[in-house]
Amino acid sequence: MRNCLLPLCLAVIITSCRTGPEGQTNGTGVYYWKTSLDFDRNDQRLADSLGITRFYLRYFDVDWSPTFGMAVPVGELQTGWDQPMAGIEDFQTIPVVYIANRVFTHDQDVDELAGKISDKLKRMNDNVSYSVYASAWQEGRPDLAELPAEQLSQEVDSLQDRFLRQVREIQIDCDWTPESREAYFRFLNAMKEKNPGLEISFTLRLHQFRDPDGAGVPPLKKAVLMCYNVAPVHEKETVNAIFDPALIEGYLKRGDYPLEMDAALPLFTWGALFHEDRFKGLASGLSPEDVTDNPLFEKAGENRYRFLKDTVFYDQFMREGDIVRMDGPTVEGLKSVTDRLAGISKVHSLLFFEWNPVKIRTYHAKEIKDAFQARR
Amino acid sequence: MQKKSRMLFRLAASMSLLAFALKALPCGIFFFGEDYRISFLNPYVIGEDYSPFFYSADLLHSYQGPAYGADRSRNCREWANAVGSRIDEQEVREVLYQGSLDDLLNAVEEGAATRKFQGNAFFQTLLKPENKDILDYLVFAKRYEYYANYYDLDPWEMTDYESAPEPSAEIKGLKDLAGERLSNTSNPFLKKRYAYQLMIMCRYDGDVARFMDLYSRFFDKDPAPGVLNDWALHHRAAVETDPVRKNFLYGLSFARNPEKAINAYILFDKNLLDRMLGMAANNKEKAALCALTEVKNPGRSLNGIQRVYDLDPQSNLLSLLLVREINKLENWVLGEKLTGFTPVATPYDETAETGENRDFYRAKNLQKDLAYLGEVMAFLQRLAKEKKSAVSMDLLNLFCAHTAMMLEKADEAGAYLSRIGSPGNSVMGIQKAREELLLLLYGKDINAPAVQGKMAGLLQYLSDRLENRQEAKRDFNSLHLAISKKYEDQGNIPLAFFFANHAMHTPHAFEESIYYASSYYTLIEYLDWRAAPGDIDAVLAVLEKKDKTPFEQYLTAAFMPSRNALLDLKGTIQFRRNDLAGAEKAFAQADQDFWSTRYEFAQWLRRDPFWIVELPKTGDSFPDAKTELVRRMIELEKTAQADQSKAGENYFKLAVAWYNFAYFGNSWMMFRYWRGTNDSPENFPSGDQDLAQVYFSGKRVKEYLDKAAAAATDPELKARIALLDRKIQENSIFLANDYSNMWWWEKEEKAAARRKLKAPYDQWQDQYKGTAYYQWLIGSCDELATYFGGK
Repeated sequence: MRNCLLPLCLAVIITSCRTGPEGQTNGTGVYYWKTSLDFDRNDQRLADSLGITRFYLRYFDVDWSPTFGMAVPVGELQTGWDQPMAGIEDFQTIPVVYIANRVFTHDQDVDELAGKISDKLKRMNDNVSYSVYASAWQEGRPDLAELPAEQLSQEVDSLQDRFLRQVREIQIDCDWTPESREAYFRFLNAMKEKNPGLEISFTLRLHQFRDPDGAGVPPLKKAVLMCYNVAPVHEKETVNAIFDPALIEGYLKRGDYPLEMDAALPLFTWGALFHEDRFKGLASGLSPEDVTDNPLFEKAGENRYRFLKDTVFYDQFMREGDIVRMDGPTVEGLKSVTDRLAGISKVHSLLFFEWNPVKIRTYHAKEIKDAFQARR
Repeated sequence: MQKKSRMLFRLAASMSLLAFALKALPCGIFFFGEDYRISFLNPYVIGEDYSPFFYSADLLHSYQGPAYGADRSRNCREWANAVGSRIDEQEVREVLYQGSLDDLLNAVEEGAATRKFQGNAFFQTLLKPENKDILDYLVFAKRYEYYANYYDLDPWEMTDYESAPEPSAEIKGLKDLAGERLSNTSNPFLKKRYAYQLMIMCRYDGDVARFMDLYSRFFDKDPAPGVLNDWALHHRAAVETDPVRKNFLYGLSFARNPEKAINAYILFDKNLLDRMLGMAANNKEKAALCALTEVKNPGRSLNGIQRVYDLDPQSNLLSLLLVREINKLENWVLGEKLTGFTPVATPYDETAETGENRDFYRAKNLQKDLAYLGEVMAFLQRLAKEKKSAVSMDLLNLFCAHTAMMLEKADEAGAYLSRIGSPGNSVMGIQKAREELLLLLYGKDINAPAVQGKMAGLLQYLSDRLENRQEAKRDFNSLHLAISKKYEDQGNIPLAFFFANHAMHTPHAFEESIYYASSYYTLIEYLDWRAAPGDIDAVLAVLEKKDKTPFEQYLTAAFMPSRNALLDLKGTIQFRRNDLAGAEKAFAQADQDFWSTRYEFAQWLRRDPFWIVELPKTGDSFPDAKTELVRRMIELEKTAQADQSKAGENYFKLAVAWYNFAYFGNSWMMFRYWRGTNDSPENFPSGDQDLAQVYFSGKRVKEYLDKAAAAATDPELKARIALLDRKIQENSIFLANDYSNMWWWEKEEKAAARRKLKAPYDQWQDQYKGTAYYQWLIGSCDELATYFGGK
């Protein structure tokens, strides 16, 4: 005999109630720079323990399309039911749009572009809210699972609203140049006009920080200083393409940038592969622990390792004698740059690029963030 | 709930596959086989080229091959050779496959300074004037690929089609251009490339004559065949009209072109194998045809695999066939043990689920599967010994270890595992960690703290490297199911619970309630009907421990119910057994507003449990907390035992209460957490017939009624006692005759059923119609008056 459901068919939806991120201006933030969402309850716990209050979520990129003769969106973040993002409604979410610099070197209507981007961001906010909803369905937190059905139903209805209320800022990421500056700054003004009530912030490269007169200062109030990707990856002379504290501290010497800002530190690594001093490609995600004490390598310098035999490595056929340069931060390097950043009064909080639970633990991100906050 | 919602989505997306992969359950709730199939061996260890053909409950494992497989690698090497020395395959790959048409056009416009291909020697070489023709071809090919395969008319989704080019006109122009350049170029590389592009355009235009002309001139019997010849073979199969030859060509294409293999697989008819073999020129071709036949075999393939090996030990499809076979065996041997479901990939048949010989045949088939597993393992050992197959030794050692593990031969498994190198963070490395975990599970004392520490380390390692694929998450959850099962077999319910809740999102069939359960119940489901009160104490102790070991930290990272929910469950378990003192103690430790504010307790525990549910509503409401109710019950019993004058009334009240705590009562949620209209003693969750009788047959009610009747002297009380006794008889008739479906019966059938249900009251009415209680009863409710008046 089979059972049929009686009235006790309980809709069970989960939500969460983290205490007061909205008021915490000094919390930390993290960039979520993937093309799909996968953020579960354990991730949420880790984010909580790190004191993360803001997620910078890459929504899409914009690039110039010769085929269309206009700028088009590419690499859109996948959202929806199968892309859970547990508890994001309790973080402040900052949608980020990366725009290729060449978009602004082509002749186009930046006002129209700002309109298209703003409309797309609104649509995507709705889509991301489905991921919030999906997470709720997939979660099993007792504090919420125990809510009576009617109350749960109200919670579910409020999830999307809660998420949307947490979107209070949009960030534009573009490595502008003197050729594109004028169009880019006009575009930023247009973004402000199209998004009343939302703050528009921008990313600032180290060279732009060092030379505001030459690079120009965008017509906005808030920036994020990106303290990574400091040198060309394909050049063998590069000491560390991602994070070189000496180089960064050189850029930071001039600390009087005219705008308020946060600073972002890297929590990612890669291996730059070289054959006979020629760059062969990247081993994305390769970590120092993958190469140290690995019989495949011997140490060949500060952050360099030599291949001891022919092998296929990250889809590359590497020969004996080839070199992998480990690019990425060290804990000491992060602490040193953090110390320097804490001395710049306009830097208000520390962000991390990018969300990666293993790296967050490896690089003691909480300790670094706490050290920064202790000096504020 | 996640399972239900995902099921709905997948239903919408995969209607065409229902027949293959569906596990139907009551009330229209069902899961897809791929939601719960057990697969501890990650098939991706063999590489991704043939990933669509990994074993699956669905028609195909996936509908997309790797982003960069063997075909593309061959193609890139040919391009590298075409433009000269010192060009690396990876650099070609970046330009050919890691950028869109727009990326390429932007890069060409920006020239050497482009960021997209910065430092890329291949792109820089293409920019040289002497390579202009090759660059032009690349732009041509990218353009054709764009318009032929993917065309986004409105990238901003703003119904703005004004800027969109017209694809058919673009393609026509490209076809003319291909013909023109084919005639004009003298570069053999470009000539073959343009011929290939033009040939494809002819195929899709239906211009078979020109297609065949180009094929015979450039690709058939080519003295220097390359990747384009194999791709051309696939298109040649498409235009072939003879069905046997068409199949033969698709069979060859499958082995040579992983990227086009889905198409070849779908169009290949394995029933024509014998006729196709006659067309094969050599054993290699025969092996390819046999291999594809086995890829389409959902049953035992060992004989076919041996045939492929004997024909062509170097067959590139051997590793696929082997990993498929092991995954099949995991499904057959482990599936039911860990999930309670029959193996996936068998169409659902309810009679098979409930048939009288089900257990007999399941056991018999399992024995056959285990014997077959032994045969597969022996074959793998043969391959490892002979060392002449194309399958790497690391893979063979892994396969041998895995099959030994499935046979719970831990020592043998460990020996094979130790022969695998240190593969780091690769798929193989992660698989090795899985095997090491299974080795602990099947070969070590999992209660030893050192082993538990290692388990926690391996599980965290696997968790940190979990891919964002549903299947990867499923397999990771299944590992927890296996651990849970092992602890359960050892009688360690608390640890089994923690691991079961780690795997909470994997569907299983051990309790039917899971398909209807709320999240609240899902969190405690494993413990309900399994745990003793002491088990729940042990769970609480781990949850509340301050300095947890890494193993305990891992345990408690699972989806966990609250302390209140656990205490409520503990009290309920004791309450069901009428251990009122134990129940009171457990309930008293919970927050006392828990039942009025959480879950559905307030909804289903609101009426007076000391008042017969069907009688006119004059009783009190439910006490504020379960604790208070149990205390009142204890007091009633105590007083009944001490004061004979109150015994009849008090025992009667307890009888009424137990009536209400059971299936037909108004406070059934004191006994269970959910209720179904078709519940019956036969499907009582624990199989505990004593408790089933308490819940369905009024066993405990009768015990108290007997005590009450023995003590009662007042005829009015006797009337009430007798009425409840008849009520229980009525309910027994209701259940025995399955009257829950009565509402849709014919009028005469309904009337007959009602007569049967009323029969127990006939004698009661005769005996007690003179009591004030009888008069009150029929006077207070028209329906009851009609009921009794209709005698």
